[in-house]
Amino acid sequence: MNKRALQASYVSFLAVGIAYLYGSLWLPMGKVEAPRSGLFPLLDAIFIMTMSLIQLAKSFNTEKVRLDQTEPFPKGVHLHRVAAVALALVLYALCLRFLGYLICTAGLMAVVVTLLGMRGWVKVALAAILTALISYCLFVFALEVPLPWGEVLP
Amino acid sequence: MDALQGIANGFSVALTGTNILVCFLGCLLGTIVGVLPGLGPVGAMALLIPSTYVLGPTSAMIMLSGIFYGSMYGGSTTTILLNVPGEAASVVTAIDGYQMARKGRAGAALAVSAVGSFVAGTLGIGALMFFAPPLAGLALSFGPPEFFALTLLGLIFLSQLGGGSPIKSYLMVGFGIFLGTVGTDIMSGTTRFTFGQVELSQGIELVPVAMGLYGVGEVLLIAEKITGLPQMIKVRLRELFPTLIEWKRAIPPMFRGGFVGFLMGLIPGPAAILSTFVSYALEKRISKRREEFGHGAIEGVAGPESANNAATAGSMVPLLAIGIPFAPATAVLMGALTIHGVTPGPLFMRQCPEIFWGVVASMYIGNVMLLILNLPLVSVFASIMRLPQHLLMGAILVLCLVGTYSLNNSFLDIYILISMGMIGYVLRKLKFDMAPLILGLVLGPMMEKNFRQALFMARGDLWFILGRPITSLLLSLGLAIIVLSAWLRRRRARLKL
Repeated sequence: MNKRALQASYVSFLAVGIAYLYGSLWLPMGKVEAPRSGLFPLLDAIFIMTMSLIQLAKSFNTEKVRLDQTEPFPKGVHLHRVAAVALALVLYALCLRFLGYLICTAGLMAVVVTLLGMRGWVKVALAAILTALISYCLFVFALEVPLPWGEVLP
Repeated sequence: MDALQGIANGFSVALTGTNILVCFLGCLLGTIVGVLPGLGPVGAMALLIPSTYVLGPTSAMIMLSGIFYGSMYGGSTTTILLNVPGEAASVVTAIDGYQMARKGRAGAALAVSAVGSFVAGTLGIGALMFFAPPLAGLALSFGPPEFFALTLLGLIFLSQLGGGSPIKSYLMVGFGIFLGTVGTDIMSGTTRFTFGQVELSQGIELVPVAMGLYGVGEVLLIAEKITGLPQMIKVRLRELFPTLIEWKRAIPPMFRGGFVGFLMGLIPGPAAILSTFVSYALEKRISKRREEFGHGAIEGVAGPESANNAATAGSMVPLLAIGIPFAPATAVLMGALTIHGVTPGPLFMRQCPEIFWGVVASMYIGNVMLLILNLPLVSVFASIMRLPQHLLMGAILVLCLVGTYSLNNSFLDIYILISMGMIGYVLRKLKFDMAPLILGLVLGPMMEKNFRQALFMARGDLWFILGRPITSLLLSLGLAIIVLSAWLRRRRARLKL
């Protein structure tokens, strides 16, 4: 499983390298005595591709992945918990523009503390609302840092 | 300005009400960050950059530096009392520190660790004070080829000495440099890899990337395995006094650790972590009581704990003297300086003496504060571990999101933060080191600028660049490190067979 995950990561780096190479070819290269904006990205893209190809080739040559090379990915309920936190973050990013900081932050906090083990809806609601309000007041009023303003609420 | 006059001026800057307060806050937050496993100084510093917007650049640097060296003090507390290293740089302390605690000498271990940190930290700052000005003077004679070679050497050192696979680290460096090329090319004004997004033309900033990798990534890792509250060894105030024999045994390792740590700090890479291993190995090798190591030898606590503090002072030298950060934490410091409109470089000390000397002086003050904070309040700090993890992680997430948005009032930064958090989580599971990515992002644009200027200067003649003595020396050193470490790895692999 982890060997495949490692190989997948090298393939992803290779794909990034190829896309980067393609993008850099559209940029002006200049000459060696007068390099322009495309040269350095081109060299970096080639570097990324070379390194990922070396690692990929090495991974096919070895039977097993050494334990110190990876850490096992979570399974079952642990995996669900990580995926749920990640999903909550994505939803937060998507809704922020419309719902604003207060609603989104309270929602995210409620989801995260529940997923990480807080029990009892009163406690969860209090933690969520207080975190959103305190952080809002701290940043907007004390530190004068603007926060995302939604169409529904700040 | 000589060093003594500089430090006198520095104290006049650091001893103002605001700066004393921010120094104290930085040290306090640093200790807390050090105590808490997971969130390290890099994440915490990135997290708190937005809170420095209301401060001037000097106060901001004083506070962020306080977090950096303060975390080294805090890291030992939970290591000794709970066998849970709060910081990667405290892992070695766990070997003998926890054994001392089990034998009822937790107080002595904590005291030696705090005093050692103070002694080595102070020595390190002294060395920083005398090392940085001549190095900055030397760097003034550097041209683009030398700066290019120096940044390249830094990235090679970091990748080779990181401990994991060097090729994986090089991949992360390449990826970091790629992120650094996104946006407007500063030399020609051409936009690169922006996909037509106007917001991306400003480039990808360090803060969302660092917060994503170290903050959001950490929350995802903790979400995976929720742990219960650990059992802590209790320490009374009167137990915090080592015996005369323990002092005699601990003092020489403190000085040796300070020396080793400062030197290691000058080298690019995870200096604070490596210095503890080197110091431990050194103490074990020269000790007359070698058999006690691993079973509660006080030298095994004093040496490494002193080394990691001196290493933080050492790692500030390249940043403050030549404007090149060689560690993720100093990269964040550089990011903060840039946000405050200050450009670090060889002229930094001449153009902004109040920042340089103010920070150096504040480090002396901060070390005294940390000694006072860490000894009597050790149990209070250790009990931070008892804070419910769900609240702590929720708060970290909110701080990451607010901090990132407040940087440019940009939703794009939030998307970058979340994406980097997820990428960071997966890459950490696959044991990719995050530090090369951060340094690739910070050093990449600097490297590109110097690379292109060097080619302009040489009119395309590579021999002109390679023929310059400092450039050729730095590049040869880089090549030697690659060859030597490849040979060592092959030899180690052969011995295992």
